Amino acid sequence: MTVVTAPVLLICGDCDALLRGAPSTLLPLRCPRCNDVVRERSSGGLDRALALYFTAIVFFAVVNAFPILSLGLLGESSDATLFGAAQALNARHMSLVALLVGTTTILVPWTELIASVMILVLARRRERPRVYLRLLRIRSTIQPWNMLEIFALGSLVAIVKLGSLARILVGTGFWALWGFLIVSAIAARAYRREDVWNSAVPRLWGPA
Amino acid sequence: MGPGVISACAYGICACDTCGSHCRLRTRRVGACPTCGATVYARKPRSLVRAAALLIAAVILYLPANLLPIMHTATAGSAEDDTIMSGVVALWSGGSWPLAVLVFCASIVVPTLKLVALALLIVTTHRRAHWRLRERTELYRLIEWIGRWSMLDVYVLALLVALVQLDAVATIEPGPGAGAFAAVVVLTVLSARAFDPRLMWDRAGS
Repeated sequence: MTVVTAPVLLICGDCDALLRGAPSTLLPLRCPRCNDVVRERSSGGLDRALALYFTAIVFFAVVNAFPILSLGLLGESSDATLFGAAQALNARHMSLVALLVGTTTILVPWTELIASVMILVLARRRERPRVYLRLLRIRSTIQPWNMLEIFALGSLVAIVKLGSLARILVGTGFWALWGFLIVSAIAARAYRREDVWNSAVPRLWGPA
Repeated sequence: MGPGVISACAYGICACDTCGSHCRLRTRRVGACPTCGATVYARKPRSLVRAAALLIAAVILYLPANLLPIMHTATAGSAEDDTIMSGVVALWSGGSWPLAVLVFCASIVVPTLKLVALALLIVTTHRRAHWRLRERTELYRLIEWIGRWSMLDVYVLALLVALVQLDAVATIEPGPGAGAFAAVVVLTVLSARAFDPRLMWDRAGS
């Protein structure tokens, strides 16, 4: 098989500049006009991304199952899980804010994890059923609404705010949350949209 | 328009949002992606109007978000209401000034900066300004990235309300400002997503 290294066209997402780049050598690439990152460095491929997403799922299951913080004061105690934080607002007549908290810390992360794993499994098997396209759209639409890293920072602020009032214990969920954030950040970098499409679809143009 | 740089749209080409493939546009604005079948738009449809409408809604809610209490604390002997700003002051006077600075940035600087920056971007784009296109694009990227961090105070509140439910000793309740504050964050994030930065370059070029 002859390998053709034809220059490829790239389009900058932020200013629409049309750029010429060599196929995979000059990575990463920034737009000369507005400095946006047009193409990210490639890393690892589908298997590595899939392994990382499975690890992230294990971590996130632990985050959901165990308390993140607990509080003890004068013999009484209470604890807050991920679900408990949203539920507490709902119980105090703040159902819309509770919905926002629950969506951005539970629903969206789970959907993103499951969709990513399904996409990667299908891509590895080089299958493209109808649901594949829908999964890709769901994943890219909801991704900005995954706000667990901000929630994790919020748990630190909560520890300090309550520290003077009561005894605060960090739970298993707290450590699992930080572990999850590290693993899922690596997983998100390993997942590349181009790899996912190129392995699932017969190439329409360019080198065969 | 920089020397020698041509907009993909001028060639009738557009990148698909779903799969990243390059598509040929059928008309000046719309096309269908040959790889994944999604409808592709050369520019986000009705971008400026939608961004401006969401921004105006956010500006209106900005006042109650900052003036109304977001949290009500009741301990054995006393009760107090906290606004966003008084929460920052409490952290500062409690001695944890690094967190006070962090919360001040996330809850006050970022939302204010976002409202001003979005207004600037929308107005300059509408007026077809050539002024500092590259810096304006960088500004857009900054607010698109930083906007979500204002959710910090909402999560802190949710955790405090969940934890401090010791009826005999102390309780923390959410206040009416919390809903308005959360709405400002969501509306500005939506407004930034509705805004299409490529329009700045289009309009300056024509």
